[in-house]
Amino acid sequence: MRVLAIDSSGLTATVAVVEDTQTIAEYTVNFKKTHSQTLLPMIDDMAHMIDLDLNSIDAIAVAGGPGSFTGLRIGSATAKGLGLALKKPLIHVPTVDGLAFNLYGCEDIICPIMDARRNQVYTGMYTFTRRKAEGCHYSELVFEVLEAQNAAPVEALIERLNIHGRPVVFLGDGVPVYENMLANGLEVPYSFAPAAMNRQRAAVVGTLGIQYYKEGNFETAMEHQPEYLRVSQAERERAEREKRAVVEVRQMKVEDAAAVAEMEHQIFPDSWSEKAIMESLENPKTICLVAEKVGKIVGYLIVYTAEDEADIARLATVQESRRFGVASELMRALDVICWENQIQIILLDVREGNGDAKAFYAKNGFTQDGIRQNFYENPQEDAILMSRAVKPTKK
Amino acid sequence: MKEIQDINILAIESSCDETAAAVVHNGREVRSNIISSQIDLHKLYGGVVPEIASRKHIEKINQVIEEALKEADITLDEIDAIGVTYGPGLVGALLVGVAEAKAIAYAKKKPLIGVHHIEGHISANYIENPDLEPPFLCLVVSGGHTHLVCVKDYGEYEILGRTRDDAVGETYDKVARTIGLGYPGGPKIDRIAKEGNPDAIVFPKAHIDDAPYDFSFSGLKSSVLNYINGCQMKGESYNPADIAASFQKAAVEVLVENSMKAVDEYGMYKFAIAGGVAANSALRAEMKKACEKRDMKFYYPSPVFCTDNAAMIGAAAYYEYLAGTRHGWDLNAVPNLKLGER
Repeated sequence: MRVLAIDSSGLTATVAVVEDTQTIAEYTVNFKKTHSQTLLPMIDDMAHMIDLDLNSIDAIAVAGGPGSFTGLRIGSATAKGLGLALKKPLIHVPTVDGLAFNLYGCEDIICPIMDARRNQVYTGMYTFTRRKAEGCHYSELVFEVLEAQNAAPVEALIERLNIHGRPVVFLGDGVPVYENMLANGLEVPYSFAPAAMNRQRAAVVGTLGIQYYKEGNFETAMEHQPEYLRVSQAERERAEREKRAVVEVRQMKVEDAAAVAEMEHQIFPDSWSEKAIMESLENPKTICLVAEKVGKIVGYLIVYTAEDEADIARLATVQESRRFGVASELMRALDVICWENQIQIILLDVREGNGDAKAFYAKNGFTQDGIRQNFYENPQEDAILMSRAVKPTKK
Repeated sequence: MKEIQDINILAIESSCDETAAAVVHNGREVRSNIISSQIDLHKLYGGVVPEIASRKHIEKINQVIEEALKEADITLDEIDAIGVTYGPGLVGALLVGVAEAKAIAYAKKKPLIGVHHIEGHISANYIENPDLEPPFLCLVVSGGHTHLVCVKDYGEYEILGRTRDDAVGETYDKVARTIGLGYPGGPKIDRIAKEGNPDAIVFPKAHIDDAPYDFSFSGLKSSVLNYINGCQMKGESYNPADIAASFQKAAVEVLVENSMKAVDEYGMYKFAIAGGVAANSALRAEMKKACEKRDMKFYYPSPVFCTDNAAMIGAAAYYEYLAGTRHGWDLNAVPNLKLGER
């Protein structure tokens, strides 16, 4: 089998053609130029040198991450484009595994460290162990993963290595960056791999790729995507904000009408216009509430009242804030207002097919009173009528 | 030799938050136009997040390309060239499309043509208007660009005016956020403005003395924010629909006025608009009126060709192909690529 291998996960750009038991060509550059400018010309040069017919390749092995986000994507998009055009499968080789395999035969702990900035590294722990066969001197060296690749603070890595208590060999672009921290923290014998084998090498990616392929471990070019081991900064910050954010319910104001009309437009096929919302606001018989999260309106409730009854006309939560209790908060506020105004019962109608809404109302204590046939239009649908008593507010 | 009249181009676009691929025949006939939009994802952040956009591109790109080929009922062997947006745009996003396009072109031994994103937007007008040929004037308006361009010939452009600060689409986004509409602002303001009174508030229109075709929108943006702050300080209520309508009126008027000044000065009789904001109903209506008054032909793309798409890249790539433009395997993404640069 013949594999084209690519690794652009770090500063090094490297490409190779590997056959079952030998490397046919390898081209590795660790220089300032961007991978976008170097990677494909390198493949082209290498292919020229060995008269490579690209169609003779069986698969494309690519270092699938972690690594520089942009670098990973250049390698990944190149591999995906080649795979699409040549109709060949892709083999996803974890970057740190590929780095560790450089140190074939090492029976100490092999610990690649890639600089992930802010005192963090992409790392893992590996070793080779001998499996002796009976009746001959040949023994197989088995590549063992002691700790799968991960992103970790350097201090945490040092702590784990000290617990393992075995000699360690480091390699990767994190070595020059964190050399001093390692020297200060490690309590086990350690060394650094030399220049010939301390960075990404596509021949290794290809070698491991062939192993994975034979184990049935490959994917289509369409399926392949990098494994970053880290969410983006924006996602991380948003998750933190969401976790802290509380839902606050307040009276709807004239200034909210446009935002509410926009949500109407997004959520309901029979959406209310801004004018309709303004009219509801001006009507003294309505209760109009909005729910806010981090200063942004995420839900609203419009209720018509008559004597001792409150009829829910609109209750909605924006898509991205559903299942965070926004509607429940709005209902709780409605109960308080109803209780203060001697309103006793809350009524509503809901589309037969709107399972989520029906489930919410049932959970909120509503029971079904009846069905109004073909009440809704676009599409025509029955209305389920529901009601419950106003929940008393404790003083 | 293949007849020059029978060129199929596979085009790829990934400069911002749409992953797109298309097959275009002879620059004007769209055989397929697939767009995978990430808009719902970026809404959560109130704007496009570059890293998230890039991740989504790599996830979707093969699927989008395969769909484009399938819908066009064509194989890569029957494709004559690969066109790809290589700037301007978000560098990480551009790189996905560029690396993918290069790899496909390389593997299939096809010519590679890097396309300027704005040239693509302008060329979107060729798709539905078989009679449109240069020279003409084109106003390119989007979330990232506000350019008044003289299209002298295919691939030959002179920029007459541009924004000195915010792009018009960016200003729409900011105003929309301020009045609680969220992202993206363009279509939301356009819709809510229809319910407001465009004469309710008079917002200033900036004209620049020494550069009659340049635009400035930061003053307009500030005056909208100041108006709202003023209302809040005085404890007065305000109507967001009126603000949207009045803001839109001021923005559109300045776009129309500068464009028509250029039309008169350059003696053009064809005028086109392009870019995401070209889908704005008020801008279309006012430009149409102004062009009719001058008895000129007015061109505008359908909304699907206004938003970022690959069909427009295919149209532009075709004329670049005819002009002999070919890029090497070292083609890089150029986030601030100038129009007309090769």
